[in-house]
Amino acid sequence: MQLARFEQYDQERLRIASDNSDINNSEEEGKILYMDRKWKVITNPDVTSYGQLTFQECGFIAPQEEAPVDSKINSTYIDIDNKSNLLQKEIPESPIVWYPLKHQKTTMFTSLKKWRGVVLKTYKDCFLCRLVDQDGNSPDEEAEILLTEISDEDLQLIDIGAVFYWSIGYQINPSGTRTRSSIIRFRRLPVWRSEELSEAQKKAEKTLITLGIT
Amino acid sequence: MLTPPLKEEVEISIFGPGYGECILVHIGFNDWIIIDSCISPSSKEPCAIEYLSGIGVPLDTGVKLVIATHWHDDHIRGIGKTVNSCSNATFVCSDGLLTKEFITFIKAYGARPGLTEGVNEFDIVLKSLETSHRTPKYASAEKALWKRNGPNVKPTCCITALSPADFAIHLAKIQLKELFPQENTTKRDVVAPQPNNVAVVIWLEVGDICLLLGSDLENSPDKRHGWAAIVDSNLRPGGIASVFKIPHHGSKNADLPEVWQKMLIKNPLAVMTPFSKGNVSLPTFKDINRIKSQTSEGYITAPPRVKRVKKPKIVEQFVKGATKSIYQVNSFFGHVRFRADLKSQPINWKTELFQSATSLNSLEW
Repeated sequence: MQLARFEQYDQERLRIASDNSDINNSEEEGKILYMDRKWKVITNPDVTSYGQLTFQECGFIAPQEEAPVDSKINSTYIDIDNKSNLLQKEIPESPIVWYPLKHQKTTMFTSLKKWRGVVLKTYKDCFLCRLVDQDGNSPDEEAEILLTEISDEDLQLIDIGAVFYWSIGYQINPSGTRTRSSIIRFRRLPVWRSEELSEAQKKAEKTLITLGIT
Repeated sequence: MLTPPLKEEVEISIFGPGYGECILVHIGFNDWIIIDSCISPSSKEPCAIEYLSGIGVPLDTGVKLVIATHWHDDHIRGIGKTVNSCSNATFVCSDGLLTKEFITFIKAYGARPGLTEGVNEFDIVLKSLETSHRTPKYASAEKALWKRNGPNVKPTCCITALSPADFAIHLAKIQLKELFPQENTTKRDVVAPQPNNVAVVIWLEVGDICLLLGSDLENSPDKRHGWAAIVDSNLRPGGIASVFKIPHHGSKNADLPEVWQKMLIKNPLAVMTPFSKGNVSLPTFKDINRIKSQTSEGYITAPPRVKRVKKPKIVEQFVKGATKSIYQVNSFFGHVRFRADLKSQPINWKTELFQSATSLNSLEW
């Protein structure tokens, strides 16, 4: 659940951090996964892969439930509620490392509104989606979003059931300049693996027997 | 509002929308039936649980049946908690859903919390049933789901499913099989397929009172399923209903005049919940007029159209530039309650409206 929360709330900031080349030239030589005013999360350069997952798969987007891997990942991964404890622990094989930041200026994004969206129907020039307010302050909405608002790399991800996040707010550059910004990012979900589908079939068979359904 | 019905009183409470629908029926003598589930906007609890707890009904012994008429998000929110709390109730769902394919599909998606609410809820239901060793009941056309024998102490009560028809179950199984993910395809949220072939319509008889609860069943050009199959069936229970839960939010494609003529009394109590999806809002002005031509006793849990809550100016500017259209899902919430004394002849219904609920006659456009 911690990973899922990390992904849910910080995906946009995480992407901004990772897309910014200035920030990526870090002295720690790892790839920056996430950064805010106080913390920087980078990949551990001594650990190049973890099981079958790449860092991107396990660090950016894949919640634990979608990536049944070595339990070490679960125990050493991002604990966003307890960052300080994680820092104090020595975890040599952890694929990520948290660094405290004190004075470094970064590109920040201040969100005024953020929705989680699900594509319900696609049209030639737009798609119908349900928008759920991530702050829980506003009722759900349904919108037809124009395809011109979607980046080229995300266009191919638009399909019924595809999940995206839409943030509207201010981007604050290292120089302090504020720019109004609207970011729509589609989740890059992993594919269904044969093991997951077999596991589901086993669970279903067990349920059918337990419930006496023939 | 929080006064329980008398022992010999029948009550039908319809809650919605807040995006959803839930029906509660008191069949006399402290026995209750829950049909579908939605969440109370104030307490965030399932409406049925909140209401029953509020009037002091013990959930473990008072609730006899929990019925999920289908698995769309707007009918199933909170049903997992409801089944959990009503620990001795029998869970009923469509025959089309209790298949190996559908349960495998639930197990695949249910392991991914945060996605696909309807699937997650169904997963909770299955886990609860497994833990409590309860076997769910299949609902299909003309099948009796529950019976209380009378008439010495309590009035007879019989609950019968009028749908899905055998042919609809066949179609549903094909439809649901296609939902099961294929290896190496991208994971996505599940969007329920259309048309809805699994909807369970309920016929409820208690003493001399009959209720027709229409779920989201629509008409079909093929008479082997949909409302035409119900009207034409010679196996369905006889009698005519005095209360009608209008199917599919009053839409035209769920309205069959023969239902009003053959299955309902003249001028029945009719109630529905509104629905919105994109630029589609149900019921429409035409739908309401059509229903009003059938009964003067029509009610709705909330007005069908809502104004969007405005956001900060900068947000609205971006939203306007990025969208072709944007509509707020109906956030109003209301409760329509009908009560009648089982002993009175003729039956005299008392109607009460709470929160946003209103009569169709007083709706303004």
